[in-house]
Amino acid sequence: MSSVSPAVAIAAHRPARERPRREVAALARIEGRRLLLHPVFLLGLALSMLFFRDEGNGATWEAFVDGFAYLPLACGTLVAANLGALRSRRDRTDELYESMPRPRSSRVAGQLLGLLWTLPIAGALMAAARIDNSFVVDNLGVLHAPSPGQLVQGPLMIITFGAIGILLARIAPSPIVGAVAVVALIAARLPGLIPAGSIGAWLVPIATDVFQYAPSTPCDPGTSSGCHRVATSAIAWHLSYFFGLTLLAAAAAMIPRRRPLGFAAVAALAVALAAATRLAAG
Amino acid sequence: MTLAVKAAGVHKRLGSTHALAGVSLDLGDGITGLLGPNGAGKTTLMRVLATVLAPDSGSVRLLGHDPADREARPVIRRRLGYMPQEPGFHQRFTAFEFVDYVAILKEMTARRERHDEVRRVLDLVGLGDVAQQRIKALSGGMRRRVALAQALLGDPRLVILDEPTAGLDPEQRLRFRELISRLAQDRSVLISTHQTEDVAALCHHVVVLRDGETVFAGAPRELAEVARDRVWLADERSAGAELSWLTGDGRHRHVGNAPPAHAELVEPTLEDGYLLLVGRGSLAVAA
Repeated sequence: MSSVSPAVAIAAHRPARERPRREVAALARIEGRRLLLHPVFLLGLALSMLFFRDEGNGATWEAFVDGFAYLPLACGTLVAANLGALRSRRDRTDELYESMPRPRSSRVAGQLLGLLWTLPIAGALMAAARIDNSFVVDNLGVLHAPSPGQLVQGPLMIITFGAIGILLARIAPSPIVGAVAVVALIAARLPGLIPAGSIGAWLVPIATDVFQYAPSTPCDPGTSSGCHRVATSAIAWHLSYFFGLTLLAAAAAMIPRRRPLGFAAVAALAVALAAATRLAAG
Repeated sequence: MTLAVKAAGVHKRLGSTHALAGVSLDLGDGITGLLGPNGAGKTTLMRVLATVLAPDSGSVRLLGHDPADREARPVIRRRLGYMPQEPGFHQRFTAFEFVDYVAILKEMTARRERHDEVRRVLDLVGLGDVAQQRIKALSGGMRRRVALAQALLGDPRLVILDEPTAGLDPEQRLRFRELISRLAQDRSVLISTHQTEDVAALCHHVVVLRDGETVFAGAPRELAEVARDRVWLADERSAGAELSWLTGDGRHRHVGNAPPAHAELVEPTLEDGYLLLVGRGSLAVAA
């Protein structure tokens, strides 16, 4: 009975404060794989793939550059990550996990890192869009070379949404909250609900509401969608927004339950950053 | 030699209930059975010893460390195996995946060695053949064995099992006894149970809780001795007995201080002693 492998025996003598990188990496592998196989994630992926329908007006290109094509996948990621983060509560394994050497924050870190597993999927979508050709050539035959920032924003939006899903599991541990959040995000896209240019538009993580548009040349004045492209000057702000939102959601999700002051500090920082971003954006 | 568990005067309130009212406990190597009726505080004590709950007062030392010390807590947990009373499972995980997940949380990071260890504990509880089946497809008894398997990960020095035999069929219980008796050769195992026959068959030491207090701590035969000269067999039911029931051979077994007429004094069992301690006559015996 006492024939234990060296790796197991070593674990018993670890220094207490050793950084848990390897555990978190191992958890991230499991969480990432489960996320990619989650039915809601797969549904989001299928819906995102609908944007590949070539309508002959450059819509696919626009949808991928402004991130809209990634929205279903991001929403699927939010719900799937939210449900994944609620797993221990739903399955009543919290008591067991509380007796483990690794604290809850390690599991949350694994879930957050597991979101990186969506990157190959997002990359594959992008590559497919490029192969589809409408990614780089609009309806008038003009080549558009997306900036690296534009290429990054879709995958980053997916990760941001996933981090929000994990945070929601922490602050409102109910399986319907993720779905409600998705509905709220979609509702926020309804015309007139959040006017373009208002601070509310910045909170909606779709580029089209916050970007300054510049007409591509040549364009057909008769079609609005084919005549606009995302200005690269705004993309840096938008990526900063996503990145900051992701970090804040991750930090808030990892704060132990017994430290409400830490949670309040992160929330206050989030508000301050949102305000500063708004001011900086003019 | 360091005691695996050394607890003194442990109090714990859960809402308005005084779940533990000054429990003291010393555990060395071997198997200790924790007996008590529902609501006696067994599960609360197990959770305190598993470092899941912190006591309100009193001192607890586990494997020579204080679990209240944040630095020492992970050190204890690395050498602790815990099976909760109602172990939850991720239903969509396979048995292997679930135990593997727990193994990661127990800081077993080297993948190949971890997987070897997971296979070892699953084989140990007789689940090697169904390791790749989803937990939702397993029977209740198999699920409890999955829970037991995770508690054995990493060769823990202290194993805490809360009602491990609940829901197991007789064969599984016998296999469990065999496994636990092998396990306890060089470690401390604490088992909470309602099954006095498991305690009689397995345990070197018994602790009986009632209303959050320790009312007995000693060897199983000493618990049986509590009922010495207080157990009779008779043809008639006696109203004066503390406890009385009709046995399979048609005679009444009486436990208590008032023997019925023409009763035959018989050898007490551990269960008789336990019933006297926690049954209707417990106040008189404890006094």
